Amino acid sequence: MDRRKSGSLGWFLQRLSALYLVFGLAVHFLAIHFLVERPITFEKVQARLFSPAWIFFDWTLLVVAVFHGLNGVWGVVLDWRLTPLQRRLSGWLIVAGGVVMVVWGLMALVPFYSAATGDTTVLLFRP
Amino acid sequence: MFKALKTYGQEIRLNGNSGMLSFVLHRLTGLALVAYLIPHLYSVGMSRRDADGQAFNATMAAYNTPLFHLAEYLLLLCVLMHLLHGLKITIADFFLKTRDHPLLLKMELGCFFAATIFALPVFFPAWRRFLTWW
Repeated sequence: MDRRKSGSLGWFLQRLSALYLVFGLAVHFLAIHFLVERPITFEKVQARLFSPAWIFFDWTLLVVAVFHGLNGVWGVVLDWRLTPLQRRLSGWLIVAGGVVMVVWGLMALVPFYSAATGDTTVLLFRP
Repeated sequence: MFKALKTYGQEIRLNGNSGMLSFVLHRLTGLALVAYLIPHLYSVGMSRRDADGQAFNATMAAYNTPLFHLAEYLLLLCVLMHLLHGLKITIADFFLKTRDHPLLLKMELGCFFAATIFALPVFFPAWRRFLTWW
């Protein structure tokens, strides 16, 4: 059985993404609750996202979190006794949901760093 | 969702041991965290409503209430439960420690309760003030 059919690749990527999320969520939690005084404001997030490292970190955290979450949902779906058609439809629905979440999340971060760097051209690119 | 809850309820009734209970908790906390991602991304997306971030600030200010602090705390508990259980699974899978499940579960619960108590002052200002006074 190849890796796609056995699901071993999905299992391995789930473990790998989980390990990244342990580190990523710890940093995210510290950045939100300890490095910034409440309440969180646009200006405070903008000040943090001035650094390209933070932008890279936030984007990778988003992509990995969405992958891990939806791959987990796929695992739950596989536990139910679905017909092949239902399974295929659920799979495509999960993939579509993931694409929407990632695109939405990436675009939500754009105004912070565009305002921080003074690049207003990306603001024209509104949903 | 209701089908899943019903199935998990049956599994616990038929096979009520600590392994099954932690499996069900892992699944339920995972589903709760995926469900949380949607409003979380929606809130951050408020940054696109206007150029100066007023809509984002108004949304964040609306979340700065005791009720939302409690919700954030419950979210942290979900993350911790899911994270620690995930680490336990990874250790069991990669280091062939499946037989040590009871010990790993005890360590997981110990870390969970310790983190639960240490996180209280972070989320509840009244509790922080009490600790400072005490």
